[in-house]
Amino acid sequence: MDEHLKRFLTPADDGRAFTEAVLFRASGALARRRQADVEGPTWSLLEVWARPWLIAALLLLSIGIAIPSRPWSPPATASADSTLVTDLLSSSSDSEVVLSVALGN
Amino acid sequence: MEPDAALVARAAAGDREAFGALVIRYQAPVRRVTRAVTGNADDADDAAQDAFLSALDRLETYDPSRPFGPWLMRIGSNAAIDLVRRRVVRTAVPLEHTVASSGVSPAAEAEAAEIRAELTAALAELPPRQRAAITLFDVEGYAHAEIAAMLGVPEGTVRSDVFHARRTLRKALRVYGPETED
Repeated sequence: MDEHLKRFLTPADDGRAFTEAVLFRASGALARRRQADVEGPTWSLLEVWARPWLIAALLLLSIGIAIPSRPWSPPATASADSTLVTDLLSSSSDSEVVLSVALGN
Repeated sequence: MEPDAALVARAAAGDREAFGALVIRYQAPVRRVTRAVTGNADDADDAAQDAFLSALDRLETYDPSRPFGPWLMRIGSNAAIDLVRRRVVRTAVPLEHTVASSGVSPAAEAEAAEIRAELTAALAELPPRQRAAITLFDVEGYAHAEIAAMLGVPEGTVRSDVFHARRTLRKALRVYGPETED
């Protein structure tokens, strides 16, 4: 709207000195960017520290998931007990039953 | 002319020439806004330089699908407003002595000098945000909504800022046009 204001605010110089000053102050940041661009992405300290723990945590998690999913097999003692009971009930002789009771089976 | 987005991509990779091209392309509008806000040529250039360095640090946050100018002007406006809030600005170099001469007759130059003096006094009466708003609107041609995004205030606040700033400048100068809200 107002040329007066624009003329008033526009710097007298052509901006070259200003640009050089900015580039001088930015030289460190530009150099870091060039270096990062050449080297590619790098692991930050946190990421380097976290990676072994991340792998360990994933390993534990996978073990935790795998154990309950194994097929269930009854304990050996329970199996033996059930065999004895079956033998006892299928026995046709009373003397064998008495013997078994006497023996604590 | 190489598009802004391409220059930004090269600057992000550390290309000095590309960053320099962005600075030379946008130094005038950024310096105009920082001059309006700080009212002092040295402080204005300090704020403008800080703005460009800050923009370089934040290049990854720039969305290449959007215009680069408003994104940069937001950083520039806020850098100038922050500088004014942080410290008392220098008064050693009056702005009127640092701006371009119009290259016309002595009478016209005298009139221009008078207008510059009036503008300096009038701008000094405005709060920093109003100075930024009227410069972005009347000088740089941004819309109210764009300025609202740049300054982080509601659009209605920008309209109000521009209105009040114009009224103040009109009183001081009597060179502005009819009083409107746009």
